[in-house]
Amino acid sequence: MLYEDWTRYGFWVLYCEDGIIAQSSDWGTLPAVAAARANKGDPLRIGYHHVPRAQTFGPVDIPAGAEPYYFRRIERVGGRLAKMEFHVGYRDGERQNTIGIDAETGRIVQTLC
Amino acid sequence: MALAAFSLMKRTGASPGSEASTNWDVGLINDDSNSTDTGSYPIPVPETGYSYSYESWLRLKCTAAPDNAVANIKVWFSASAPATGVALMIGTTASYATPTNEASTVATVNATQYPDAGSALAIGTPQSYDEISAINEYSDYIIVQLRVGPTAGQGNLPVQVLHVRYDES
Repeated sequence: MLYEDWTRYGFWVLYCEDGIIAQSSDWGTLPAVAAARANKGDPLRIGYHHVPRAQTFGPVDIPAGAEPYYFRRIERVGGRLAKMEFHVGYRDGERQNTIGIDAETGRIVQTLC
Repeated sequence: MALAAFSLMKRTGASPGSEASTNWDVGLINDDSNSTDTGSYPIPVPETGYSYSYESWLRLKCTAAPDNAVANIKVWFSASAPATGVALMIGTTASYATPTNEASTVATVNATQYPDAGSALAIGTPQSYDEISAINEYSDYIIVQLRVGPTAGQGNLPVQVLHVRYDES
């Protein structure tokens, strides 16, 4: 059974060379955290920690000038929640590079592209 | 925190018409209404040519807002036709027009051509960047219509299940 409360499945983790900068299930804070850290000499990386498997996926290097990117991919069948994936990575103009993690199984469903 | 939520709305009547929630249960019937009573509004099997249901003009209405936005909306049904001689036709457009029970000029593609997430029908929105970010914002219309040919049999059809996928941030 899938739960509408996505926070129970995990959270993003933002790294620099020194280690973890921030981690949160509040997706809305990521842009501000990343922007505050950008251009400070440290390459940023983003991962996703899947709580049910106690496993962190990634991290994905975020190139200079690119913005960290995250979204939940939701599938509803006849209106009911049928699938949820978490995608983290970065976006650089039209280009998007993310890895996707299935909420229920914790398997990688999409690799960087 | 919960995910964004949507109602599947159906608009009926002469343009501009009126709209009501379907509770995700849509009747493809020979009547321009929100009824799901297929027994009262059957689509006749023609001797030649095609008979049609009334078009169903559907769209998503946001009832619980995402943190930021919902985008990349796609829909699909199945790789299989509902039954022999019966096709589920589908299309999308931004502007409402009075539903017809003649051949749709919008739902012109057989839904079997959109069999899965990788080959789904992309749905826009009236908002910038084809996004939905607030309660009471809508997607564009998804128009579906049953096309019944002379080889179709009588009786009820199996339920056709609408799949909706989107990216939420």
